Amino acid sequence: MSATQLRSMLIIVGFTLIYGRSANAGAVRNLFTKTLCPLYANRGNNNAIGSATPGTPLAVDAASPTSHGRQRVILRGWSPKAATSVLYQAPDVRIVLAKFLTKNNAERTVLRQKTDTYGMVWQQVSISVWVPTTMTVSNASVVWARAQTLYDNRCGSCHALHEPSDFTANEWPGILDAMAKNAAFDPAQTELVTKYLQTHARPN
Amino acid sequence: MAVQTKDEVPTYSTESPATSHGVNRRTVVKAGASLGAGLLLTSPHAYAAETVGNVLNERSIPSATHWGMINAHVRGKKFTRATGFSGDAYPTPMIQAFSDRVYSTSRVQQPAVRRSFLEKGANAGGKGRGEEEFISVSWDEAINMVASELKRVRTTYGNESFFPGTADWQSVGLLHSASALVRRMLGLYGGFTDCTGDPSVAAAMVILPHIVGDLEVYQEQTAWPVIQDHTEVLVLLGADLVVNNQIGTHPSDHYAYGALEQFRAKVQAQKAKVVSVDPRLTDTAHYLGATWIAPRPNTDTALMLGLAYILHAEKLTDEKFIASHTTGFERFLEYLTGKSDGTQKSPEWASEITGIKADTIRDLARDMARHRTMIMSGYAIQRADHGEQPYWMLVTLAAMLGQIGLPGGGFGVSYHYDNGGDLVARAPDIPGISAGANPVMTALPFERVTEMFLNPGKRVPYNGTTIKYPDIRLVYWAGGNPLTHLWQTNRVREAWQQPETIIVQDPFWTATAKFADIVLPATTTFERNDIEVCGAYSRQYIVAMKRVIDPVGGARNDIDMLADVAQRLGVGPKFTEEKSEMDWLRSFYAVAQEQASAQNIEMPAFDEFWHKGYVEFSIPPSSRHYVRHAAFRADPVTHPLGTPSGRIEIYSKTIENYHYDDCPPHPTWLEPMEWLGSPKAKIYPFHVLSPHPKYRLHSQLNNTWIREWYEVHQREPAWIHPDDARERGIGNGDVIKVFNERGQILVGAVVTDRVRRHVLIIHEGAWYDPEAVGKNDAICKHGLVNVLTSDKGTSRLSQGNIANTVLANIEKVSGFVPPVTAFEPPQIVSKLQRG
Repeated sequence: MSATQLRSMLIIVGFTLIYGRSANAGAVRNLFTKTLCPLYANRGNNNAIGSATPGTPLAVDAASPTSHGRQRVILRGWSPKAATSVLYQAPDVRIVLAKFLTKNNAERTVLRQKTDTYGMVWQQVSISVWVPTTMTVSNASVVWARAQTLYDNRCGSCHALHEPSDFTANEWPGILDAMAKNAAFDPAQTELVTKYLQTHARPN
Repeated sequence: MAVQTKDEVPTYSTESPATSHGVNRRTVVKAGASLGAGLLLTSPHAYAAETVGNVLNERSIPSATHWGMINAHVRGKKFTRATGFSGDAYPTPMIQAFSDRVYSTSRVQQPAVRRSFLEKGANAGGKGRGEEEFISVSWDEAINMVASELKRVRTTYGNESFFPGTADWQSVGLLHSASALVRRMLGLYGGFTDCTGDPSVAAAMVILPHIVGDLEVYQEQTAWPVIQDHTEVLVLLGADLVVNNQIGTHPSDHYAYGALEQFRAKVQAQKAKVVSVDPRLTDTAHYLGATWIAPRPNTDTALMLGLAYILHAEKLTDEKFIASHTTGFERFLEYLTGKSDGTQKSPEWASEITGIKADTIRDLARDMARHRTMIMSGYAIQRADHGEQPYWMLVTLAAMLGQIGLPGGGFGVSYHYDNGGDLVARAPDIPGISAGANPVMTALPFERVTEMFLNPGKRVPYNGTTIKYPDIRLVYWAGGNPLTHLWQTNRVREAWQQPETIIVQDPFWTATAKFADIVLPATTTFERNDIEVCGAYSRQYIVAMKRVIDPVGGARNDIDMLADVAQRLGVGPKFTEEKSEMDWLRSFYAVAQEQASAQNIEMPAFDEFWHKGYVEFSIPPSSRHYVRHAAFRADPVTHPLGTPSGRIEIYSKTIENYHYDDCPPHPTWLEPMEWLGSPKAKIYPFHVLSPHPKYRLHSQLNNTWIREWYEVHQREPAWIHPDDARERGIGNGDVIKVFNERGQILVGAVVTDRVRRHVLIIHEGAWYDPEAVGKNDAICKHGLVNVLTSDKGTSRLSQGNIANTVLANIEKVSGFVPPVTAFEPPQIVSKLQRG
């Protein structure tokens, strides 16, 4: 196993540990968005306040209500204090978990605040939203398998296929921005493959 | 796809191209089992049988190439000439050589096997490659031999010992990509060792993600109309837009030429000025009437440090932009001012290194700061020892100027490539043949291939990781010419002896084919149906590439021979997906139609498209206003770059953690391993640069009459300054020998003041022509510059090639000059003669 492979495996293990632990702590379990998923402020309103990228963990517990084909879930992540409409996985791992309209009425709780090594102020937040029950799966590997098939089939036509660990999570979106057209990915496919590559990327 | 049964010798179709629907319906002509296919085809019988078609009737068939969309004209059954597509206002003159290339005497006529390999198989050893004669064999024998070699090597050594290597510049076409197809076949058979990166931009594509969080080199550039409206000072840094935009990864749409014409008018009206920093006067500089600054080669970083010094000293730095959009500037400043190393990077300091007057540097810095300035860089400056540094310094300089993300300001690294700055159409995307997954994860940069062959198991550092060289036993090269494009040819020759088996698919007897064990003749673009997108950035057309003529000689499509190999390996149906050539093209087109329909873009049905030859998509007005990095400039928090900090990293903590002394954590002037300022220049007083050729695509088209436009005594030309020539008694048109400790080549002198003193310009891509074949250090009679280059990597960070870091000496050759044999096929013995 190469060092990069090992590293990407460690990320996956780390990922599992983090979310696994929270599941044990409060009988919380994770669902994952199947695809680009609209987010709603409540069960009834049809105007989405944002969207979650494919494979984003959504915390639910036994008490999470389901109604009108929607379920209440909790999104957790980090946003720059100066740009609260984007939710990232971590301050130094800018995997976009969700994007919100600049003005939205989501129930948002700031868990903590920190300043990164470059002087930017970040907030860890927990956001309560509603998602369509049809757009979630209980296992993220289903989402990644679909992404990997797409990646394997389309990205090796012009050049050798890169390992996801060839670039960092922060770098992948720009690369997809230039390359998605050659792979003929539609916007949803680009989101899916980007998120897959980022989630399996090499650490900064 | 039909598998050839024994005794059937595939030859050209008897159907006319217009009615052909692909290979699976091809009529296969039976021939006697004892006859090689090529014998039949090159015999008078073939000519006598050629009665179909009226030689006076000309038909025009749409096709596409790296050189652009074209019309191929056919009289009778012969491809006679190519003309530019009606929508292309600037077709390149190179297209005139296409028909000559198709019928070149250098074409491989039939499958051939090196004599001792045929007799002893892998026990033959690699030493006789390039020296022994070839024996022609039937397709069936050849395919069987390829399949059994793949089986043997996989069983003995495993999949990691397969190496397809090929980079993808052979031809355009979303289906008939030899490099993708060979990977597809080997991937289905369990995988292979692969190459990563891109030799054009090897250092750039590793360093730029650290600095700007993006490969950048393939990104849409600020649109030319924005340059036209806003740019006041245009700095060309080793960039020749006029020569290089003739070709593209996808068919070139030659957009840059109209844009340059308009910009020239602006320059002539004295509303903009152009400065070209380059050891040679490029066609672009000449065309735009640029001020020419000719530094010593490989000193670009020092020159830019001198410019940066003035910006800082005269308070011309955009402090606000530096504070809001960059990180680590203070650390760099300590270096710039000499606080960290005791040397101020003043214009005087830079002048010593670059050979450019300090005042010139000072004036340029002021000019750049006081005007809207766009720096367009070519890739050449990063194909040098420590090639990461000039690109890092370029971005740093642009950041200090503070115009990144402003209309017409900042930097661009793709204006010379794929018509960067082109207007992007509102168009669907279209996929191509899938190479599929590669179960073997081993991969290494192209630049390390030679060393890999010579040192299996060795570990080398690369971008913060370690690569372990695999043990390659079988090379399967489809479409490509590594003996020409890899660096330090004599070392490549030594490496090329290591594998047990070398299989080459190619239309031509390239050096790589001549040094192979099994050679399979492939069709050219004009002998098969395909589909493409025209304009790598614009995506303005989807174009039909119709079969123009029947396959020449015994050639077969790469996809068909690989399908036959796959069939014998038990993965045939997975390889072909049981689709014919036209089935594939229809399936690609269907994906585009789906996307078009989702975006409300009109697209004709496939048959209508195929009949017309292309679909054109409209350019929305918004494309004219595109500014690279505008969003980042407007709001770096919401639109961060892909770097760890989200900003431009003038100092990289990531690179700091790698502890590479050949790539420090901020842009730094590091002396190249050899340059005009090094002691070695006393022995080898010339710096050899190898830019892209004007009348070739790398080595492609060298085997056509077009070489008469530039060759000197049948050799690749070398530009030499009149004073250097005079000192050595060299006249225009003399044959000269260029040599260093790595090798020696013969070239023809072109005495011109378009090149700086002590610099030789020898364009890359001349076909390799060793004088004594068996000798690994033989002189190249034809002038392949890579005989002189080194295969050292740029640094441990990117391990990129350093093609432009070469010192050499020259001497006039008088008396007998050996004739050029680069384009002659090797000695081929037919099966009959073999007895």
